[in-house]
Amino acid sequence: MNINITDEQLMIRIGGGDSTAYKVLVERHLRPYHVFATRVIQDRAGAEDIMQEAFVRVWKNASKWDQGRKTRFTTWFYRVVMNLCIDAKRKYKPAVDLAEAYDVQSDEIQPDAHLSEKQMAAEIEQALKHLPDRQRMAMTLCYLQGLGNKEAADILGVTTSAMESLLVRGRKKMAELLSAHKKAFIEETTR
Amino acid sequence: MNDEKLDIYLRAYQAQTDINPSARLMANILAVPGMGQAGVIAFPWNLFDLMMPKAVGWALTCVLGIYLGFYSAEQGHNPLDEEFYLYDQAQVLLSEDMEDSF
Repeated sequence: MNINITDEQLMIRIGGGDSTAYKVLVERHLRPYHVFATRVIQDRAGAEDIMQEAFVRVWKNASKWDQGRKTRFTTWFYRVVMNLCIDAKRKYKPAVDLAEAYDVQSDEIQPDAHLSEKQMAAEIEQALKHLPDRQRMAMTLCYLQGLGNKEAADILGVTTSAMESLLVRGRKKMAELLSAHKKAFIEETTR
Repeated sequence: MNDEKLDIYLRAYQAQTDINPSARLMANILAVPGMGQAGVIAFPWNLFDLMMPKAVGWALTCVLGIYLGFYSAEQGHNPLDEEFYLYDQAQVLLSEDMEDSF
């Protein structure tokens, strides 16, 4: 199959029952969306369930995919995965805490310069948990998935300026949370 | 915490969570449209799902067939059949008479 074929064209082929087109689409998109789901719900097993459900929806809805549709496949699929993540977050409780998964020793206090990547990641993970849903989604889409503000705004269904506002507030809150966490850490050790 | 440091933390988190999906997940997802031939070969238990509706349909048809077979065998001679036969014969005779009269 031609590798230059667009996602939207693949969807039309899938709608016609083309399983090769489905395979191409899965191979193209499984990794970034699986990473996205893992970052949002912070549970790998849960993210795998979400991806299976998301691709079932691709297969089922492909026949309804309209050629003249203005929405890009990636935007539509991000919305599907994001909604599944929101539903899952209400039901699931992460089986393993990310800090535990990375084997981070919480009682090991180190200055910033010596913090390992794993420790920094664990701190960000904790901070993300405390952000409101929309701010967390905005931060994840723009800073972690690398999407532009416009595309992220389309996914969240907000204007670009509202998106920028979400990002500013998200960054501010996250910086505060990380600083507070560090301060508490230092106070605990100097006691 | 300043912006620069926050970016360093975010990049660290990005790198730590950039994990490849498992081969099992890929296989499970590709098996979705595999209700066809490939799916059955890769996942033989799909055959059970596939055959189930047909098997139930055939089983119900067989049970109904056997029931009707035994039920009709038990009926024996029905006097009503005889009456209908006679009524039929009378109609034939009548119609023949009418044809003659024309």
